Amino acid sequence: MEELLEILENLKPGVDFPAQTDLIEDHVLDSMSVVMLVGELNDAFDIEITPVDVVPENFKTVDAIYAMIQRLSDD
Amino acid sequence: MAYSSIVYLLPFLGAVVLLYNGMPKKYRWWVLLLASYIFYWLNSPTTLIFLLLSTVAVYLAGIFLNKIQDGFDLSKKALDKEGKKQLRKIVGWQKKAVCAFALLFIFGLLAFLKYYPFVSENVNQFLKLLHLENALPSLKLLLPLGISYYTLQAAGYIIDVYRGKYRADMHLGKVALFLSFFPQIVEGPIARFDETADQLMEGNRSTYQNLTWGVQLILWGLFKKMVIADRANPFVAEVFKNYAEQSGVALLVGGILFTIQIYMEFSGCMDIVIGSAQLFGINLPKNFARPFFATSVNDFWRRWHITLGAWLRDYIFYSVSLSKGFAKLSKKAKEKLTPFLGALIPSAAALFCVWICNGIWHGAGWKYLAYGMYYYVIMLLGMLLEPLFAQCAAKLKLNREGSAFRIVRILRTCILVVGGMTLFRAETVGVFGEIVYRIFTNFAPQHFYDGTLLHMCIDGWDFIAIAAGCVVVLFVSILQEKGYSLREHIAGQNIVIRWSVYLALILAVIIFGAYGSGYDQVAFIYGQF
Amino acid sequence: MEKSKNTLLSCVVKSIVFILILALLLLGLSYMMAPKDNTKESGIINPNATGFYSEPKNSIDVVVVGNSDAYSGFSPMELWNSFGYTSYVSAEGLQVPAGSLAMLKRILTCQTPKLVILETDGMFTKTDASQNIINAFNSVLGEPFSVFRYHNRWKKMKWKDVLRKPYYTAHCVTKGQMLSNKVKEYNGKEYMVETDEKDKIPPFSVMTVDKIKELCEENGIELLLLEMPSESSWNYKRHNAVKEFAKERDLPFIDLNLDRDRFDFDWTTDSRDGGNHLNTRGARKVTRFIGEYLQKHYDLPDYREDPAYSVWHEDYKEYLKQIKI
Repeated sequence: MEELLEILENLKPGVDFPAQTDLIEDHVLDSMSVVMLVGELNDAFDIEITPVDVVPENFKTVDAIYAMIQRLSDD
Repeated sequence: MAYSSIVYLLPFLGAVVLLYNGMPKKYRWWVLLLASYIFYWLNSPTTLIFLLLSTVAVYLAGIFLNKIQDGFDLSKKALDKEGKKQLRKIVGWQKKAVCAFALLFIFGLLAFLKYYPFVSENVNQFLKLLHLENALPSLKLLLPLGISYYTLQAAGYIIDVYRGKYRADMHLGKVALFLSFFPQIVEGPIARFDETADQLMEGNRSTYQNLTWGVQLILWGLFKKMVIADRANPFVAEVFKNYAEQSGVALLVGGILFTIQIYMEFSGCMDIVIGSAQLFGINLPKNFARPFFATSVNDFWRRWHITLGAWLRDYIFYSVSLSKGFAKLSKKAKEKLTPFLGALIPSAAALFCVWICNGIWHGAGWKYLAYGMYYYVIMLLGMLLEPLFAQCAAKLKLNREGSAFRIVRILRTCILVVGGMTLFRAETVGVFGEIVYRIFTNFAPQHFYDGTLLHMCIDGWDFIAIAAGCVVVLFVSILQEKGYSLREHIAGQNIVIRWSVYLALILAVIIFGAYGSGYDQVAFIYGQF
Repeated sequence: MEKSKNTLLSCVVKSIVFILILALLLLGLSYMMAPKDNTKESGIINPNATGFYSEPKNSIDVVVVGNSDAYSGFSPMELWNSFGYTSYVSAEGLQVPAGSLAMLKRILTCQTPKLVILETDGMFTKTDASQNIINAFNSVLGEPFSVFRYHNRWKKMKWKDVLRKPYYTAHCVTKGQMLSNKVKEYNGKEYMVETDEKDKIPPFSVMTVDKIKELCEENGIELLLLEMPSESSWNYKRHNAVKEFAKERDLPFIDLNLDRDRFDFDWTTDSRDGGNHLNTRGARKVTRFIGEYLQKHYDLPDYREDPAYSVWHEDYKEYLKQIKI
């Protein structure tokens, strides 16, 4: 979890990620940030996030992202 | 049968609603399918065959993908880890082949019917330089109604199935209705199978709420198109046709009026379309979200033609930028160049693909390509200069999220959008260049107050009507932006207030609509793609 | 909303009441926005065609409806001078039968013609479904709901006009004829080449002309089908179609494109635009010929000695000044 938060902080400094309720709707993460984030996450967690996974539900909150990482690590 | 024509609004919609509700629930989707094909036939009979071909192609491809997946699921049980990996690879290739074939087929049809004239003309011109006369024959091709829209819906469906998002549907009628549904076929919105197809097949009865809300939305769309958009059209048409004789002021006003016209018409059409679907209890995705409140061009394209942007994002942008090839490229770039550029390159490249597609989707012509590149360059510059802007703002202690700055950003976005729209409306890129040149060199500000602008096809009253219409729409938009549903609020009022509002809207369309003697019927701009 | 509020009955009742209120409002607006005079300045559409409003009531015996061929080719003043018949041309550019029907209904509110002459090439004008619906509406409810025709007057209306009763003051000397002294000859090949083929009259036109016939019968008015000489909008196939149509309904039909020598017609002097519309010379020849036909087949009164119609003599003098032939 800390690693995830660190990556997010690096991507968009100054944003209080745990407090955000909808990163996509509130435009904290736009398509390009998502792409950069996915690159980082793939490297850091040795997973493969595909376009199917890139849906608002998976990137809504920090918890949602973490859940997705867990799910993809287990596959 | 345009969506704003009498014959669509009264007899056609009315008949479909009556028939639909007259049927037992499980047959209601038949009414919609039949109505959709009849609608298509009445508008473009000779090209119905292409819609049918694309429908069948995508349906069959989906069935194949299901079969391949089922075969894999069955076989993998008997294999070990290594065997599974091998089989997965083979299956992967099979699926890719099926999906690719389907996409090639439907996009091939689109490419040929829409782009052959443009491509052949340019190839022939190039070959002329090499003294090879007219190698490619020039063919007169009919563009099937809605092909740019239903092809994208079909592609989305088969790509989703390929990616494993959901299984392909065995019901040919469901796939056929999804691709042909008459409110969407001409101008979108571009829907997703998993969001819309089930609704289409539900066969929900038209409740009083559905009917009244649907009619209200249709009315609102008619108001925007007939009172504002159609009223601005004569001025816009005149200015863009005879641009070389216009003053800079007239051209500028023309660009602004066209931006207003296309927004009111396209979003008004979407209101009519979504309202039509709502009559049957079907919710289509929205296509507009107050685009002129956008604070940046990126934001604008999240609010304008939303379903097209979303389609390009999900099927082109993510496909390209999240692909393995780009992941490798990005890694290399991060090592060789700065991390910032390393992260930027896949996005920038994918964005380039998106904007090429967006541009040529709108039309087969250099102008449309330039239109796409116009926005790409603006966005790319924005991305590249973002760290610089952040630094400047920090040094000058400017609050970029503050409301004053927000207004500046909105204005800046509007100016850029008017520029883009002027390019879109101009006949060629060269004409656009001339127009821009004239705006700066031949401005003639006196035309603002000496009345010249009031004698170019529309008069002072027309400008007042357009302005008043825009104010009404602005008021409603501000409420919507704040998350306030005006429709619900009015519905909650007593009957006198409710009916006064609805009657006022109807009377406004009847009295202030730009129809009747002296007005030509204005064709829908986005219906020609 | 609770379910009880939205029973089928209450929904239907609410819808009907809503539509009734809307209709009432539209009727009121129509009254307020309609022009209160039939002069050009008053904002009326086609002031020439609507001049009959200001003619003395029940003074017009022959009414001509149709498209621009009618208002170019028929001359009420010539008919007056040679035969003493009172006539009016209430034709409009591109008028289709539905428009003729609507015009006739308006005429019948203040005139009692004995004969209606319908110019027939308007029957072949192609209209799409939306246009047909609009035309049908106009021919049935166009008058009381004239707001649809006059809504653009919101720009030009004056407050004093809003509640005034209509008072018609325009005086059309030519009684609806559009005068043109221009001469542009047609010297192409003969366009009335005999054939057995028949053009198809759009079903909506057939329906509407039948309605015109019905309206005439109800009011004891004779109906005559007529086609003006017009090279660009007529041919033998159309002739055959209308001839059959007229025969089936026992209606007389005169086609002035055939045997044009009967009235000395000359395409080099009688057209204003090279074969589409007639000029004043052509109109005079054609109208005198029609007058002879009317004299033979109809019992129309001659008002030339009637002092009540002396204005027509004044108008004729004015007409002579304008035609310069």
